[in-house]
Amino acid sequence: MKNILRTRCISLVFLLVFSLSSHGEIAVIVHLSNTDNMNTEAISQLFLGRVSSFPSGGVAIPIALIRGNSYREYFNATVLKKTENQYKAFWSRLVFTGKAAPPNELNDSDQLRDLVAKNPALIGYIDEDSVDDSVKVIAVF
Amino acid sequence: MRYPVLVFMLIFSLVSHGEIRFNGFASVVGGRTVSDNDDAFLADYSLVGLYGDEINFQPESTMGLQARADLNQGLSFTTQWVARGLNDYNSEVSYAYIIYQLTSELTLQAGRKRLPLQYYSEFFDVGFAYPWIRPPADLYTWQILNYNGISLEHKTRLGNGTLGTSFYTGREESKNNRLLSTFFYSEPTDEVWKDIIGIRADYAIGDFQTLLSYTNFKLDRFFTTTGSTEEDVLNSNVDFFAVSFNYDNGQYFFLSEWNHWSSDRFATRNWLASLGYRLFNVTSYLAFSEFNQEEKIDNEDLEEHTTTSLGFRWDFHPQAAFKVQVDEIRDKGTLALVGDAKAFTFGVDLVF
Repeated sequence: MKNILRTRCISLVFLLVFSLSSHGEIAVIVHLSNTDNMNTEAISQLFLGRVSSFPSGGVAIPIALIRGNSYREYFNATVLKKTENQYKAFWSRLVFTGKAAPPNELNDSDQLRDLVAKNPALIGYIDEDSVDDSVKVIAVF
Repeated sequence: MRYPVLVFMLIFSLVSHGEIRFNGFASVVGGRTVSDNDDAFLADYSLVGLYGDEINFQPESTMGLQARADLNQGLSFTTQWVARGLNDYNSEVSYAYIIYQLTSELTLQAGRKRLPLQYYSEFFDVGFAYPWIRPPADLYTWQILNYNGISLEHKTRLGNGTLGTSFYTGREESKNNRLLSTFFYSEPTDEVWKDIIGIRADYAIGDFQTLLSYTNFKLDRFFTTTGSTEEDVLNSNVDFFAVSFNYDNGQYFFLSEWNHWSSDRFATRNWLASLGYRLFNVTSYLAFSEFNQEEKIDNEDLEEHTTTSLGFRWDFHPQAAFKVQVDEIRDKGTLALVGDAKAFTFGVDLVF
């Protein structure tokens, strides 16, 4: 009984820590004029180069954050379900066969937000704290 | 050597305002058969990469450099030079093609490319892109790897998944083909694959991916030695099918492929299945593959061999992985071509 209680306590703490650290960390953003609805799968398809247009038809250009950025790691793990190496291995298949080029990368969230605010073709993910009313949030992870 | 220099000059003269992106890959692989009683281990059929009972780094070590020049307005040019241990690291052009983006879903490509017969054909040289040391040799055995021609590539959403299709056509000639000349006939053999047409479709949804591919071409084979006892082959019709089904949830994966070759005289069936598990940066995997060939006219079994592989991939760096693999090859064919062997290979793959 004591053991079960302890296990439950530990899992509760784990759950709490996990939900605190993961809740609302990343916002996927697009231009204010974008009216597309996209689920996790649709966002992932764009960031993995499987399609290069929004569901409504316009050209879509994904922008990522640079390697080593914790939001990038979190986005890749949560949305793309890939570690940095799996991401690199996945893209090397496309790069060396001429199928697609990986998303361009920017240093930080503010820079990315400012670009997305200006260009209706862009989609990116940023630190949720960097969101302002210049961009539209389509998903939060 | 002159060809790469020309291509380089072309790139630099074309690009005035655009951008050039360089990427590269390298695999340094060593290995040997486990004991003196083993027959040689034929790890790479196409280029006749053989391991014997002494450690050797030549059969599979490969390096590649790619330059892609974007000329704006949807036009780009890509070249990939590959240097192999088997060719004393002399570089050759395995890709040199122009891409023209017609729409956001459709591109037209023209030039020299890898022939996309099978799932791993196009990135066979890029060891970092797959878990094993090599895609199993029982399937990746063909004498022609490239073609000159045109392809049309299309990608779109279908249901909740995505569908990529490509249509390609072209031709390839190989003078003194290495696999045929040094391994199968032991005399100079020229191989031509002409009127190649093919279609490939892959559908991906969530953690699943399937590929269907069909290629048809006419095969000519010439034995160039005067007085050769072999008979030239002219216009043999070849149908090639590939089906692949893959599941990868990031932690577990199951990879599989089935191929069928049918020419006027020969039918070949081969398949592979591989299971893997990732824990932190280490991937453990098991793979099994089989090659089975028969002569159609006399209904005679020819080559038959299987490979069982066990290995580990350790991603010790974001752009590099160390791999170790043990293979056991069983030759069950009436034409005991490769023999039985156990082999041990290891290597580092990197990309940049």
